[in-house]
Amino acid sequence: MGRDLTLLGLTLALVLLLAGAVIFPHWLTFLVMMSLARGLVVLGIVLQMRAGLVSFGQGLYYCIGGYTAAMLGSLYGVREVAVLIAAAILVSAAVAFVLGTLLSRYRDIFFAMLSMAFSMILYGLLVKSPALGSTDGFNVPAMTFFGWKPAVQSTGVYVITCFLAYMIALAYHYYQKSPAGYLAGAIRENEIRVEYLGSSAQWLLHAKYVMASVISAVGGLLAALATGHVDPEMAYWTTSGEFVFIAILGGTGHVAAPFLGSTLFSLVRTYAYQFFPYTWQMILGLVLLLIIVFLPRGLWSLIQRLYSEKPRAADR
Amino acid sequence: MQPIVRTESLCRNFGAVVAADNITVAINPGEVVGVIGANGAGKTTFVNMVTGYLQPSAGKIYFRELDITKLKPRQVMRIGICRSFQIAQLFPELSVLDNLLIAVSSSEGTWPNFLKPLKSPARIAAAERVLADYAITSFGDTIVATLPQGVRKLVDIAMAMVTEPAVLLLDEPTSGVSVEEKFAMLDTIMAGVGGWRDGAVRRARHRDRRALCQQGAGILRRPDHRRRRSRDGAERSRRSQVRGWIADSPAVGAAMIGLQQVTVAIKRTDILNNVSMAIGSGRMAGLIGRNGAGKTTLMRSIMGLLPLRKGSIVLNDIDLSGVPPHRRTHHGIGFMPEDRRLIPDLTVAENVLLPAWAAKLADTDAQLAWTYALMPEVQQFADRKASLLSGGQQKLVALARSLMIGRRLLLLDEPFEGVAPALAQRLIEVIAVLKGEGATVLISESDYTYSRDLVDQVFVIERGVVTAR
Repeated sequence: MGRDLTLLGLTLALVLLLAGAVIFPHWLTFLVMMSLARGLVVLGIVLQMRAGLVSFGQGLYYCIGGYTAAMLGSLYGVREVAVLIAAAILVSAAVAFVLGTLLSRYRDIFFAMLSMAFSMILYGLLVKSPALGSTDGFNVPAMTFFGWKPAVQSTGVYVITCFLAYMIALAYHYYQKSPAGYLAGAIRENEIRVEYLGSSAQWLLHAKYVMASVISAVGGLLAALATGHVDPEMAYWTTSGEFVFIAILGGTGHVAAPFLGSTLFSLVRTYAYQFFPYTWQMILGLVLLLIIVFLPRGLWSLIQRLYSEKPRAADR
Repeated sequence: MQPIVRTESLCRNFGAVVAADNITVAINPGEVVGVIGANGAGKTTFVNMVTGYLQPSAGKIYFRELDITKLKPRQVMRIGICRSFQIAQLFPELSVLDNLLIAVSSSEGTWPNFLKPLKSPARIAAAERVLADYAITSFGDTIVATLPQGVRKLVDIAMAMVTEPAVLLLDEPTSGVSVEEKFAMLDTIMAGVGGWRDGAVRRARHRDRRALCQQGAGILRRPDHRRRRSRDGAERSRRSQVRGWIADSPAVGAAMIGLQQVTVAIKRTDILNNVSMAIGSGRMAGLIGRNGAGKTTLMRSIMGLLPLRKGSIVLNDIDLSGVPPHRRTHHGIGFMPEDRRLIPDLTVAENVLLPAWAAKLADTDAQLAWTYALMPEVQQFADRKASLLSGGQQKLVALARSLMIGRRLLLLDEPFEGVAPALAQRLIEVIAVLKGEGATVLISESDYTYSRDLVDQVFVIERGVVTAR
């Protein structure tokens, strides 16, 4: 196998992005933060997509991550990001474990619709909760970052976002190379054989669901910190739909693809909104159409083509 | 001696169909046992029940006197009973080596191992050892989807053997493997089995009976509640009746099919290389070649399921390259794929009628009656769902389906593979009748076993190169 180019690439990206904390203008750091945060949510979708399941309700965990942070900050006076991260992971894992017992029995469209149903239930609950600001949501106060209190709050969020995204991306990368990661493709292609090899497809999908949920919840937490605000929209089905959109845009072939996809999505949406304020959804639709027709394996397949001529089974 | 596997009065119904009726057997450690029966006798059902894929309607299964009747496949597998599949169950998008690596890592079964990199040197060594045992090392990097059926079978068995089970159930292990390779492959399997642990249950193909008896096999007998068709008078008169039907059948306009310098590639590898061949109207041709020679690829190319890289295919005066795949059946080409490809949720009758519907055939009823007359067995289970048929029965249905539409040209891909000798004889009769009717037929086979007396001309295919003989 030789050197691990992904490790090298991710580390290089981290160094560049951290340098960006000083160099980048404010709008760009915000774009990077949001792209990384939402990229994490998409990574959760991609993790399940590789096993053949498409979640149309990943907004549930995006929302859970965000609200966990905002509620602890506003209602319970927590001011330390480390606590928020731990709480978001615990809460999302617990919720995912319970919902996963049901969801891991379903496949295809049933999984997609059921996952969406759960996120819509949360949306409904939040909209009907005046204590949590109903449809307006509420704000996230300023935080310390593992004890560090930066002069500008957003610098702290930016740095913590880069580090978390880097660590999760790396963990995901190694996970994909493990038998558990390979079994995703195996389950997608032939569940019967997986059972006959002695593994439980249902159990594996349950575990993957929990993992995907935790990753997405961290994304939601980071997004809440970056915008300083949460609202029930985070669990609305169009938000989840956007994440699926980005997953297809980026591709499922590599850990960097969701981040690439979400950066492009942010750019396209920003500019489309700026130049075509009334028809920007149409631009997004066209972009998705073009991607599906010309790059069915997503944006990442472009990079793969540039980078290696021979198709390699390991990167598929 | 305590039996390693014992069943008590196993029964299984699918609706009104009895697939297993009161099977009571005991298999001792170290024994090699053949389960022999005609198509649809219940062989696969037996394997499915023992390995937990199907719950018996009644009866018990014991492993070393432990009741395993209610266990799931993975639990059965974990206690040491493994199986292979009649139709290889693999991960088609992954390479052969990756398939085996997944099998190796699954067999380890402990959590920490599950998160270490899949491609560790130890696992690769283990997987490559198994590949070598089955003489498929050269296919290691090949994506399974591009493998010929025979090699898939070997990969399938190799994956079952990775875990070194105490009991191994092989479901038609050599169907889809050419005759000359069949016995060598059996030897490989038996050598492996004999070398380890305490035994194996072996479920074999009809034709392998001799080999099994030589190995000292006990033969598992099950009550033969099903008709054993003898070649008596009634049978013969039915056949003459069939011939009568055919005389009245809609006119069969046979075709001339020609391939000119056809090259076909799958994933950038040339599978067919500059193939030129022609079969005249009303002629019957054999296409003989071992596994992976390109027989299936050739037929799929004629059907338009694979794009030609070079060359052209002509049916009568029509250049088929201008005809999209879904329109080719409209020209009266019938195709019987090697792996049957029935629609499991449709009934047999619906499956047979499907091409007629698709091509909007005018005289569907007449054609169906003709097909049924030719193969009355298909009519017998016409109302049954295709998924409830055994592998061999499905083969018959696939032939019937191709007959519905194949008025000009019939492409039969290994029609005799995986069917009991008696059934193969029936197929030969059906095909012989067609020949009398002047249909153009191309039959692929791995050797001349069945088609020798049928065909007018023979093409030999070897590594994608076709030579007329």
